[in-house]
Amino acid sequence: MESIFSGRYVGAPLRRIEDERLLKGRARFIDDISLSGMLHAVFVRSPYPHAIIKSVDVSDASRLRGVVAVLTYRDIAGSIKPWEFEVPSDPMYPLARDKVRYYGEPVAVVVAEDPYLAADAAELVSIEYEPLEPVVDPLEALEKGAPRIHERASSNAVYKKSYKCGSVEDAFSRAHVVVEDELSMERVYAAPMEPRGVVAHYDGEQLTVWSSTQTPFDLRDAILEKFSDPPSSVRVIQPDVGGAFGAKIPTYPEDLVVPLLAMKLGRPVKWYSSRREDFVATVHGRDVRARISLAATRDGKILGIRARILGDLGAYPSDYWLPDVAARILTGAYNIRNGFVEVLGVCTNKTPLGPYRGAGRPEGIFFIERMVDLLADELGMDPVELRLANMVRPEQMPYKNCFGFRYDSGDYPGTLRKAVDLFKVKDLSKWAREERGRGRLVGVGLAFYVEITSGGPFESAHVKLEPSGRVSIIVGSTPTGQGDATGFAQLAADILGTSIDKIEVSWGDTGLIGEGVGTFGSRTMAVGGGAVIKALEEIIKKARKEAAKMLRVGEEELEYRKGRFVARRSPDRIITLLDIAAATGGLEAKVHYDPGRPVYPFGAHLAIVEVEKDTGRVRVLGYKSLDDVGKAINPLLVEGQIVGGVVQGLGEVLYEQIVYSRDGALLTQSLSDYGVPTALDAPARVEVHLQETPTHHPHKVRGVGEIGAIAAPPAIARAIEEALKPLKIRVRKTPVKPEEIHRMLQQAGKEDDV
Amino acid sequence: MSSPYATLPEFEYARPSTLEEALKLLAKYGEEAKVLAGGVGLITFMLERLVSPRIVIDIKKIPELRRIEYTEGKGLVLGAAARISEITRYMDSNPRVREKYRALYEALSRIADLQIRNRATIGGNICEALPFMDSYAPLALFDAKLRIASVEGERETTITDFVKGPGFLDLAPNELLVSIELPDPPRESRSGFSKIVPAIEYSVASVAMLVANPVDPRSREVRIAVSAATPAPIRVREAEEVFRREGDIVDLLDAALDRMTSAIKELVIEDPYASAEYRLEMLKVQAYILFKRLLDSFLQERG
Amino acid sequence: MSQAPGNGGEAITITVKVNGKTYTHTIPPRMLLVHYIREVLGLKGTHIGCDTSNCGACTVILNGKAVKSCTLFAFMADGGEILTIEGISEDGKLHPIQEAFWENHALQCGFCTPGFIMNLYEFLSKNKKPSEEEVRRAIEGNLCRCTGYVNIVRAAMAAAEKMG
Repeated sequence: MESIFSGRYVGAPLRRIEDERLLKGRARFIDDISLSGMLHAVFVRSPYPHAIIKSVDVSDASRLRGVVAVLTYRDIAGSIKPWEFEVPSDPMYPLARDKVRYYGEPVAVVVAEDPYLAADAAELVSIEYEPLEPVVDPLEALEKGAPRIHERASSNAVYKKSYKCGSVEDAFSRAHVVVEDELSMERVYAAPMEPRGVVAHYDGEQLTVWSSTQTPFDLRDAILEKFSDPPSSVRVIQPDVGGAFGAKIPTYPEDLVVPLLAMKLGRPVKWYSSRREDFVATVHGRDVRARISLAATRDGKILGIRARILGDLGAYPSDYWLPDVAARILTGAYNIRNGFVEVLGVCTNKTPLGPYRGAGRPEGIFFIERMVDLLADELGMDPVELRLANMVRPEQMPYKNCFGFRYDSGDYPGTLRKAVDLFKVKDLSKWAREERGRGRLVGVGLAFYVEITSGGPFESAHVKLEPSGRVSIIVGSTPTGQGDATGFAQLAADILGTSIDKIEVSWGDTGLIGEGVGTFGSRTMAVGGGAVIKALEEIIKKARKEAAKMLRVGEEELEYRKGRFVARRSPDRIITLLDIAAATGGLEAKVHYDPGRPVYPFGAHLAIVEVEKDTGRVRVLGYKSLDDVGKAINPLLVEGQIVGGVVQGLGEVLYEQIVYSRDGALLTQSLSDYGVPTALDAPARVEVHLQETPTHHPHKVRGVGEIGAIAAPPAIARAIEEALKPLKIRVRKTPVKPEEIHRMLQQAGKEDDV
Repeated sequence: MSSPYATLPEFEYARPSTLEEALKLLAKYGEEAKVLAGGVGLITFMLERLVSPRIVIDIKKIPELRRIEYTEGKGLVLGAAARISEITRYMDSNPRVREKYRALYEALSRIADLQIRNRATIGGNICEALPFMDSYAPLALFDAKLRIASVEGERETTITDFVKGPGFLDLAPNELLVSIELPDPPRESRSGFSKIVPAIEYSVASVAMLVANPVDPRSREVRIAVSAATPAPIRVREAEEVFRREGDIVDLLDAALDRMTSAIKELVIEDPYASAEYRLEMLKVQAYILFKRLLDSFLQERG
Repeated sequence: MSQAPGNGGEAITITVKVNGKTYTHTIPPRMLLVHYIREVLGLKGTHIGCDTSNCGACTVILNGKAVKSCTLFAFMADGGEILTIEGISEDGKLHPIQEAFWENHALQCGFCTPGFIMNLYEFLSKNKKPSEEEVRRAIEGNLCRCTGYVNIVRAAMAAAEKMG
């Protein structure tokens, strides 16, 4: 087959096929779904972070006009099995059984004729708690005598693992320099603009569930597996989803309880979260801290790394693997052959931790990039030179890093050098120095990252070429706003040699495609795209058989180009795919595509910041990126992913933080208290450069969804330090808020005076 | 946790068309009534079910509560239900009024965001009784008189007497804030407003300042008002007095800021969003910057 | 929703003109304007993204001004005129702001988009040649988590140009 990159669509910055209905207000988000006779559910949530449930009295609530049902654990105990986790812990019940472990854990559910009445009744549900001492700080949770969160676990440290390579003792004893620091990324909230919601309808045979999820197939499987009396058929539909960023990957208690209610009550039921509720009921991200040492020679060769990574998993260890990813990517782009890292996952009385854009990689990359900058300062070396001296070299690829990740390909030093040129780092640094000389606190910071995308296990696609020439693509991917449908259509239009207008892309419905995985981990264009290509290739293969028959030549005689088969030795023998589809009543293929190994995008990001001396406020003046994303199927969408991720990363470094009180109440419960960046906070321009190193995927894509959120924090952190030179100020955590910068400035100023 | 349900409790609704009617309703229902102007604050509280009034009295249709008038010599009168965006628009079309009350203008034009300013009212901003309400410092600065009415009659108060602390107003259940009157500021005065909004949606330290006749020690006047950093707005008269001393105004600033610090230090709020130390420091920093800015504007005019 | 949400309190009859059509409904006092628009009128392009009037996804034009319909009672619109996202494109033809959003990739998930467009609808009708800084100030009450705003500002500038 000819290259799929010779058509007019792939690689073009096309505007999206998804947009028209979104622009006109005709999308269908979860709260837009209204079914006849639909009831409304609200969940009654714990006001305590840690307590025994003594009794629940629903009688007043049940009597209220318009109330159809009020249920507690007792009412659903026989119907839904609880979640059991892979690490030692008590099960998580869809409605708390006898104990609550975080502020906001659902305890009861009220169903009424409308959401106002349901809320009125929820106020009347009377629950008696016996408060237990909560533990909010993960370090305190590790102490002897700390309140135990899970009875089945011997301590709150429910996950422990270590990785090593080489001889770390030897490396540290040989070192001329050892730098050590404590770093952290605080707890954040994904804050998609649409909170979560679920609608369910049961017709006596089929249960149909709409959920604002990234994983409809997981939800279907969970219903089939956890319901003790599952319906004969379950269909899960992902409607339009208003952003997700990983927080809509988990299957949540509400995802099971609402469908159960629809079955029990025989009427459709809807739950749509308020924002206040979403803050407690949707997973939080990051919350990882580290103590790290780097050993190096005085000329800047990094000999070894030693680290302890501690993740605060919150109340239930559903995603205990997050700090593990941070630990294993900890050597970043550097060839460090001696290492030891110990990972701890600790339970506390907080909302469970879950994936958030990058899921472990932002933490690991922030840590190593901060440490490399620290080492550069310690050695008095240019951070770029130090990085170049230690990077994995292209001839080492594929490269297995110290903790077992296998980087597939790429020229890291070449890419960094190219970035330094493209970004005009020398000119910028000179400018910043001059401006600082004039009293302006401006700085330029650079970071380099490697990250992991396009994981398995597979993705599915079902493509039909109708006799009319229309093409229908159904994918198992489940995009939530990234624009992948446009990318898939671009691939298909070029491969089939047809117009993009002929192509329709559907997704997010287990009734349309039986098996699929979903959209997360920057896998959709790489793995979902791979599935689409595989299906198209299969269609062409089928068409080739037909073409050979129709043209009476051997299959191997036929050359396929842009929608036509031509006989090589008699070029007047031509038949189009369309003719074949018309003659055969259409062609179709259903495939699973297994991506094999993941791929590792990489690149360099640069931030230019200004710090306001008097207040400590930081403004990101400019931002540049060079990313190896493989082939950019649609550069407009790639750029959109990078810029969006960068501004999320910016929010994480400068503003965003989930705050709990000492006694375990969530203080940041609204968008007034939680600093999602506004248009005034975003940089005016982001200069995006792309480069392409092929991967093993048929269309050479690497994945781009999480890059910005991974690279921006260390780049901005470094830019802040540079802006405050010659003061030796270190950014050790995210967020670094104005007050903290102001305090550091004042302290450094005092020390200077001395 | 407070109600997370994003729906409100039930209430009855009244829409009086005269002040008299509104006051009668307030007299009748007292603590069971809540006054609705723009709705921004009230509805947010009701969504959390922190307040559950039996009756909501909508004062938007009472014409005198929506007044925005300036009279030379008498000053600026704002009806309690005048919208923020209407006030700033009025000032934009009357630049002399805008410059007279510049600190108020700067504060109002930066309240929340464009959509909120289109709905929110000056009376609503005052009655929300949270420390960071943006109208507080400028109203204290301009010696605003708040007219409060009830069926029993009228009284007059100041913003610093009216706002007692978070959630606390000197307002009886049968009383209504009717209007805010800002007397003419001193001739040839300049004023400005500044706030610090770090990573959250509201200020942690706000300062309003006014300077008049800076070069003449006998007639000069400097006023400083602060809010957001303290539970209730404060007019910092201890600091203002320093500027009555002899000497160059510039040389008096440090002493004045020291007096400000000692006067309010004990009152400054500490919470997870900003420490007391930072808030106090930000009051000083902003006062310093505002002072320079206002003096510069005098110099420029003469230059 | 099969019935009007929140049917407590003595019902009030309101008359509003929405997207050029006049409606009269009897509603409970506690009904929010956004619920009236979405559930009673069925205009679901106006979204609810928070309950504290921060996100701006519920922005509509009420009597010529952009407002957040999640913190208004429906009765506050009585006698007034409302314009929602469904009402700005004539005969299926996109409004210049919608076109500019499309052309500049100023939306991803699209949940916040109607709110941005309605806010800019008022702003751009009153500010023919805004600076980028003015546009940023105008949209500070609308949150977007996907785009990073760069393309939204670009789209607003392009729309201003188109609208001349």
